[in-house]
Amino acid sequence: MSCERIQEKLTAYLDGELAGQDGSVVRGHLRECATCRQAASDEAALRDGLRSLPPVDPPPSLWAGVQAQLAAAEVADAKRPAWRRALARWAPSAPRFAAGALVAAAAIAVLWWRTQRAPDDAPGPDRAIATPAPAPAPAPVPEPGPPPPRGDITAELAAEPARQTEAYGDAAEELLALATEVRGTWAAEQQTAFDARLSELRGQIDRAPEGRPRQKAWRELIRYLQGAIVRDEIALAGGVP
Amino acid sequence: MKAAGCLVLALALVKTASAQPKNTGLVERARLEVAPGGRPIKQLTIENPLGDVKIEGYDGQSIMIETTKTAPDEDALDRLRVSLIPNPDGTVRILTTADGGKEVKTLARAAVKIDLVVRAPRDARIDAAVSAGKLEVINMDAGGELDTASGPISVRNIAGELSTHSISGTTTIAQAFGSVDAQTIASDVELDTIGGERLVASVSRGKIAGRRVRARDVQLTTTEGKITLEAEAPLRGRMVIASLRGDVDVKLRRHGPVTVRVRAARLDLGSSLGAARPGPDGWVEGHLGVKPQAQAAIVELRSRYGFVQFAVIE
Amino acid sequence: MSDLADTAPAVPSPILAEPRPRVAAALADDAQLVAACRRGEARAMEMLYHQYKRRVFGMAHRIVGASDAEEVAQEVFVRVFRALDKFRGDSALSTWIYRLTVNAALSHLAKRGRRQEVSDETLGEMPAPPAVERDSGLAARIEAALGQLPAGYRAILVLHDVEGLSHEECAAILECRVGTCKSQLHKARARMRELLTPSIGART
Repeated sequence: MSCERIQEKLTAYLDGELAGQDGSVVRGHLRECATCRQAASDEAALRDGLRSLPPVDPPPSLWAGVQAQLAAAEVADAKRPAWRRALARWAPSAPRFAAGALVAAAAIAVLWWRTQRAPDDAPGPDRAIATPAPAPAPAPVPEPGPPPPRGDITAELAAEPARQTEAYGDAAEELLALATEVRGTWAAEQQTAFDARLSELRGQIDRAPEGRPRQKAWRELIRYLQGAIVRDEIALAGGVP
Repeated sequence: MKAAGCLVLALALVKTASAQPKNTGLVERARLEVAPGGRPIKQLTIENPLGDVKIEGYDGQSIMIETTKTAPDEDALDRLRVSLIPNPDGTVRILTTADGGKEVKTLARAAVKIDLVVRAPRDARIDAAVSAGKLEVINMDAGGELDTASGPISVRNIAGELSTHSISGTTTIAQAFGSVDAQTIASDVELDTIGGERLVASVSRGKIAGRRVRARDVQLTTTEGKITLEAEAPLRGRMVIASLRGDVDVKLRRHGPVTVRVRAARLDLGSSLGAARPGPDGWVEGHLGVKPQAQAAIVELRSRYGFVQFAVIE
Repeated sequence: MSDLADTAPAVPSPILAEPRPRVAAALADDAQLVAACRRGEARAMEMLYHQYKRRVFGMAHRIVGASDAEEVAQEVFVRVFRALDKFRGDSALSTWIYRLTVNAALSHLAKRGRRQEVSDETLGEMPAPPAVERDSGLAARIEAALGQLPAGYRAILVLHDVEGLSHEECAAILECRVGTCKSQLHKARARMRELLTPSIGART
């Protein structure tokens, strides 16, 4: 067997994966061929060197970072289901209401919501919300330490802002479904204006930290949708009855 | 940090904690007074997700806080915290929270409660958030922002700009002399004697009922839920009372000319508007008083799927 | 819970073919740990973290380099805890975590562009535990050479040779066939030998 063929088998041989005759062939060659012996010796040295590389200890800040991100992600989660549902409802229902332009517009809207939601999967930007307000002097609000057991009051309190936000999200979602209906009756430029404003409000929600600021942003969206749906403010602004 | 110094002193002197066993467990009451450190207290922020909050304005300068903690046992009681954060800029924050327990023993949220009764200088602005507990504000002059999740909001005798938000807590506002903005998702809003410049109320699923409303700019909106309003129409005022599915029932007291525009699935405009008929745009328009165009108040009533009723109180 | 200490094999003779000890997948323990983590038990989560921190951080460190290792490791652990519900237990927990780590590290590199890891940086920030000082010359050269390998080779070398996983495990982690794994390893080692030549034989 050529040196080339032998060297191809070296890795398997050194790793103890060549059984019986194959192993014996390689062993036999190595006894006689200095070049291959050197190669085998080098590869073994390399393998052993790799195996005995010292473990790399992570910095202690790693665990803290993981916990902070988990907390942030959990908080961010709470409102996500509302959006999933909103998407589900918004997307398939659109064709029921009108054909043509509305469907296209609705598709754009759906696309828009989806791209807006995507960054949430990377909890990075939401990191700030894991850190509670500045610690008060007499009895500091606890930093997000190890996650409390589920069902415990601390866990419930920590989850509460997100739960409330979700309730606002649910309400907005219902209005969004209604908005799909009336939107079809508007002129194209009104639809564009509506989409643009929606996008703006959505951005506000995304940027607002979880808790009261984000709830406030949701309420603004709800008010806007009510204005559009109940009071026909958009249609009226465009001079359409 | 003068304010902080004063605060700690008052806390040490006045706190009278007493633990007494009750059927429900332990109750601990504490009182403390926060004296202003140099500057008067301008803003009071209270966040209590664990129980009720009652804020009462009075003519003094300091804040008096009475806390009542209820818990099943001593350990749980120890976990309940009320924090005070005075700032030199004249704002005071009160937060309640539950610490993580030392042991793995879990403590159910429903098992504990912290109620706060706060007496505050009348001219402090209130910013309060409560979860399922009651939020009550009485006799304050500088308005505020009040939030609850499911707890009822009750405001009485308030001046300044007030805004209230609740997901499912009934909101009752009486005797408001500044602008009012009330928003709920799934609960009713009751308004009585509202005299500010602006009244905005919106509800997704729930009723709005207003009486003795006199504001230049009134906007009441529901998605589903009846709107009942008894109001005065000021000169050049504007009222938009709109519901998607709910009925709208408005009784108007007027002093000057009024233009009424109505669009609804069904309507009853009584005798006052005479022979008003729907125009080509679907609106029914009628005029009350002699100079419709000059100083007229505009009243717009609409319900896409509901019944609109309008009457004038002479 | 030192994962490396209890799996470190007796260094096999370089020439004689011996079966390599493998990381034993303690499946039953893993299942319990996973269940406890799913219940949100803080201690279990911390235990899992400490059990895997060196493996995850070490892999990340050797694939993406010192400066980004923490970021990648953090991302991996967040994903691990967030996706534990989806972990079906049809592979060992370690396999799954390694897979998340390799994927996170490789996609991090892809995001960062084809910028080559500066080996000086890798070495400069490498902690040097006193226990390996005797070998630090070779270790440092190996780390430096690793930094110059294509990322894919780095992954297989770290999994198979540094972490001591079997080809089957590597294949499961890298989601490729065992044969591919073997040939990749062979190529990776050959490349390493080139990078280390001629000095590799000068080991202690």
